Amino acid sequence: MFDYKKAEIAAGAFLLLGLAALAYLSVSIGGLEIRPHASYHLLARFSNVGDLKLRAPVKVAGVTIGSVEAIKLVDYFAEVELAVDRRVRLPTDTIASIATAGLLGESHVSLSPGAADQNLAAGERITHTEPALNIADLLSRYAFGNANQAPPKEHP
Amino acid sequence: MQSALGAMSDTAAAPTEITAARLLGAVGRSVFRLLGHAGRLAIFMGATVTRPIHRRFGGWELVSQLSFVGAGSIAVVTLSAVFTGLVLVLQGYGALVRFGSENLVGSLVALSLTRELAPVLTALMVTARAGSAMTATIGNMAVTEQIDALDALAVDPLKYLVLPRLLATAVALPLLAALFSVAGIAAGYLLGVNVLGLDGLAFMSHVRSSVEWKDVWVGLCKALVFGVVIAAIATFRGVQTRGGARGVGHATSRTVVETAVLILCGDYVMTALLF
Repeated sequence: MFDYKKAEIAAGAFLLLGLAALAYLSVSIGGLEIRPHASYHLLARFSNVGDLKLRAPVKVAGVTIGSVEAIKLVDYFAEVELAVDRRVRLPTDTIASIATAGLLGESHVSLSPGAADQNLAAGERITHTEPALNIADLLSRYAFGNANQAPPKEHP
Repeated sequence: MQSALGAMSDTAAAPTEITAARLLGAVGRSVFRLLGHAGRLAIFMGATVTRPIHRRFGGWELVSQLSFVGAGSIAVVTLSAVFTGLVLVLQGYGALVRFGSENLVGSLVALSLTRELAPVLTALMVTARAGSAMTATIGNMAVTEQIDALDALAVDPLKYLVLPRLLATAVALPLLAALFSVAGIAAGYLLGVNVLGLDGLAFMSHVRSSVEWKDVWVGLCKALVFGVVIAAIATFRGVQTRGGARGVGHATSRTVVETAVLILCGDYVMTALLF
């Protein structure tokens, strides 16, 4: 008649297989963090964040060490909150800029550490920031003349 | 002669004559029929899901349904996934190699699968296999009056027949969709690396970087909703079957068609809402 044992084993095996596939899909491929790395938050104020999105990577020397947690408008400036891995120490004169990975790539925050003795603590602000580059702006400045260019350097 | 013919029945008189009034009447009747159908389905589902609140439900039926819907569908889901992944890589490679971005095919395959194709195709396969079987089984019981017999024995047919199927399908579908995604990506990986000469590590690194948790999660939500839709329509059509063997066949084909259409429409709605 009906094989009770076989059905139970089949159902159990299916559940295990399905959950394993689910786990692999989520953690390995989807990047779900089971134990998020300890991180501390820093603030940075930009005049233009361009295409920067939430959860965009924060990189030092091209290596991802954090992500963008929040982007808010404060006093007509973009106030960005960065979550940086606790193991990375950044000096107080770090420069934050918004770079693009390749011509069509995503915007990310690039940090260039300075040479100061003190390090930034959690919740502190990165004071020197550079806004996002606008490619169209650059092209028009190049194409339509040098009205705003600095005077040429004088050779001795 | 004319009047006798006309007096036989309204619709028998000049049956090919299409008048505006007839068309309007037909449209109106279908709208009302659809509304009535949707209402009956809603009441049916509402009655079913409120069951556990009264008493505990039989575990054995659930296990057997899980084994049938879940474990039984693994083969067809894996097979569909493998060939879907292969086709995606093949077509994607052909399109992307022109821009020198053939390594992006990993992202293409992974995103298409996890976001859209895995939930939808899994649901369609499960409908074809398990949905039709549910309708046929329950429909057969309906036309041979076995459901009335259950009622007479004070066994609640909703609790005994419908609820286990509903729960089993709702649980099985997200897991099957996850399986579909993994199998499709794996098959695409094997084809890309061994036949098309892509770099395996680049492929997987593109897959990992482009798929976010949100893509996976939304795909699973879709699969869950589709699972509920499949079980709801399949069991409802089964219970509503009338008319002997022919009625069972009719109900089964209607189940598959209605479920498939609802899945595709629901996919659009959920994509628009959740992405």
